[in-house]
Amino acid sequence: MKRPKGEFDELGELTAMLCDGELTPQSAARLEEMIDSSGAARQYFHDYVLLHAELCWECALEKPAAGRKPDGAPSPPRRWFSLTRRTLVPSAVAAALVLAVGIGLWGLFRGKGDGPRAAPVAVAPAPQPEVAGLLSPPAEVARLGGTVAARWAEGAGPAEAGGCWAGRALALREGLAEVLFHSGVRVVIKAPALLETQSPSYIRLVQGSIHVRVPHTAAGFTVRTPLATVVDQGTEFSVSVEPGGASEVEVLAGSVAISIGAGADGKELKQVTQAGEAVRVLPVDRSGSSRLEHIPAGTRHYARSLAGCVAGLQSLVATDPHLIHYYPFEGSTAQEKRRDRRGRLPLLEVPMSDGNSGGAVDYSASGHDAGRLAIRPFRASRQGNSCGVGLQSGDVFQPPRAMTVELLLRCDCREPSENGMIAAALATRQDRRNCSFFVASLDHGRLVQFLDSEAGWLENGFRFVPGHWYYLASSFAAQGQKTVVNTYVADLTTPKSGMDWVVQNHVIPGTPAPGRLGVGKGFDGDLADAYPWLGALDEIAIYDTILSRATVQAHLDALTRPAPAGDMQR
Amino acid sequence: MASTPETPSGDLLSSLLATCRRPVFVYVMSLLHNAADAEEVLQETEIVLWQKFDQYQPGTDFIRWACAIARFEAMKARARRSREARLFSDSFVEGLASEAERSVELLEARREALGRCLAKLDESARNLVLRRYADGGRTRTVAAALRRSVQGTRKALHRIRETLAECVRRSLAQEENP
Repeated sequence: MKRPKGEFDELGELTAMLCDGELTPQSAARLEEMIDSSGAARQYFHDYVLLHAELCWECALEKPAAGRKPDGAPSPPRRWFSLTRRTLVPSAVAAALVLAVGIGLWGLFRGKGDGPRAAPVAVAPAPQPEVAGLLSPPAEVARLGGTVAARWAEGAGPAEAGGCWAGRALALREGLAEVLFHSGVRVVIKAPALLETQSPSYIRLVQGSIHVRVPHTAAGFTVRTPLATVVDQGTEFSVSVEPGGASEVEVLAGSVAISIGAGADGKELKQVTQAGEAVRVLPVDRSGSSRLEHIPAGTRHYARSLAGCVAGLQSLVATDPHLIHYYPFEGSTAQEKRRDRRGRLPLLEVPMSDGNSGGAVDYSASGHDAGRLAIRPFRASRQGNSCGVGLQSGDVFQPPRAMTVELLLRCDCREPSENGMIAAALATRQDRRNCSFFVASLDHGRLVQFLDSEAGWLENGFRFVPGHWYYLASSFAAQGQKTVVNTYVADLTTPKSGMDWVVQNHVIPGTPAPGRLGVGKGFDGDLADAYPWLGALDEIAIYDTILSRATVQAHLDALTRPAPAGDMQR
Repeated sequence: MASTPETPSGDLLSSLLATCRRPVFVYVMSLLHNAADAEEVLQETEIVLWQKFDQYQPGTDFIRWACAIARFEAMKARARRSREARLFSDSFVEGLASEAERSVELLEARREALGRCLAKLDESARNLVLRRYADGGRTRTVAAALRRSVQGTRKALHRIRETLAECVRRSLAQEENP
């Protein structure tokens, strides 16, 4: 049905202005009025706008053959961000345009099935290899190098053989993974993350964080985030994207060029960031411009390799059949972070005997592998006594006759003036005498333990270095009214020092006392809570068995050694 | 409905995301009329799809689900704009959304029809379309590049769009009633 000439002249003109982004509010009101008053006008507008949208999409598609530069530099991005942020190789755009005209739109609009299909426009026949390239399946651009405790979203991991091809979406739900690009670039992904491997020299990061190491031969490797394009200039850098698109870039070595999208003024902002610098790109504001601001380097924690990661330990701990209580302190809320992942002993915040002094437990303390968060009880001093806030189970913990406690801890006791200071990492209390300080520190960092308050401390000469992370495992085998204690400690900050067996089959009075489980706190007097831990705690696990030295060593190894390539847990 | 791209089996999320991008973009464009905004919403939608992917029931209409999420994200994006920048009333845009939803299942057929219609354009018209759309260009910049008036270029593009829209409509009608 052909409509009369001039029927929608005004409507058409206004709709065209809308498509060009030049419609004024007054014209918009008029347009709305016209569309609301006529079904035919509404249909015209709908068809017109739909066509405009389709043209925007189709004509902005990448033309791979035309875009690929002969020297192997990055191809222009695929469809993503190409409309507004085509900041790379601008000459390729022109080349793509020329080619697209040359081959007509046959390549762009190749049909499927046996339906009618337009013949290629005979202006300039397409070179056969390029057309074949458009029709061929995507090529492998990278391979999985290794994983630690990785869990991919269903159907969104690498292929069975570890291959990642152009356009492959990778959704890492848990753990770490390393992807090795065929250009030689290594990318470590920390969960949760969503990204796409686009080419050997291009990755699109939608959400999450990655660490990128680029050899000189692959300079020009590009990371695109929703707000920024990061082009390597022969370096090592990290990129993160938060929900909502805010991105951060931190450069460890060399430099990167960062460009952010065009704002309302149509201008792009470009910036070169050097080693030791970090920037944050904030989402588009009302003026239509993204903002880029400098931030201190080191504020965000990236996993730079598969070595030394808590995820490796977690994968072993979580599957141990003797695990009875487990506090990895993970989750999006404080309540979730206090949850017992194995048993039924959730933790609560409790102020110490002298009050909380206005503080609270910090659930966002830096963890050991810089990819994890830990908890940090609050500790303050009031008139010579400690006060603060720690965690404690609401119900009574019944220690097995044979048990092992395992945790990661950092002691921040720095001052000699802290002599006499007691800080408890893990403790229970049955009564005044039957108190158990499974892991505690005395003075400024001496490791101590006891199970009978009248027997005094079990000391072993080991002292925590302030600020260092430690792995500690201590087993307690009750025999009558005494207990055999073994304790292993390893300095994770200086991993070459290995594991020390600091308490060896030492028999001490008392047995592990049933009572509320204090995490980052101890007990004193009849009912008082006291001795908050000064430092950070993470990955507290309690087993109903004596872990063998070999098992403890395996747990430590998981923390400090890289996972073998091909460890694909899907 | 759109076909699944040629990707290795098992790559469900990849396939589904690839399948839904075009329909979601076109759908959102029908509401916001701005390619940059539509891309932003598409990104947000993908993030939500990824986050909620566990809730997806394989075999159900992923594109419709994606469009429902995109509609919500588009309305959020619209709400963030200043009142003047919104141009249209909320009720009007709601109406557009309902209309656009009805078109989603026709998009693949429209795509093929559009390909045929573009092929029928003469070279200069096709060139003008590509100049206007291939680089996210604006009519003003195209006019400047061609040393033509903005008004003349806009009119030329408008005529081409009308021609294409009519061609697509006829093509679809012909498929329905061969």
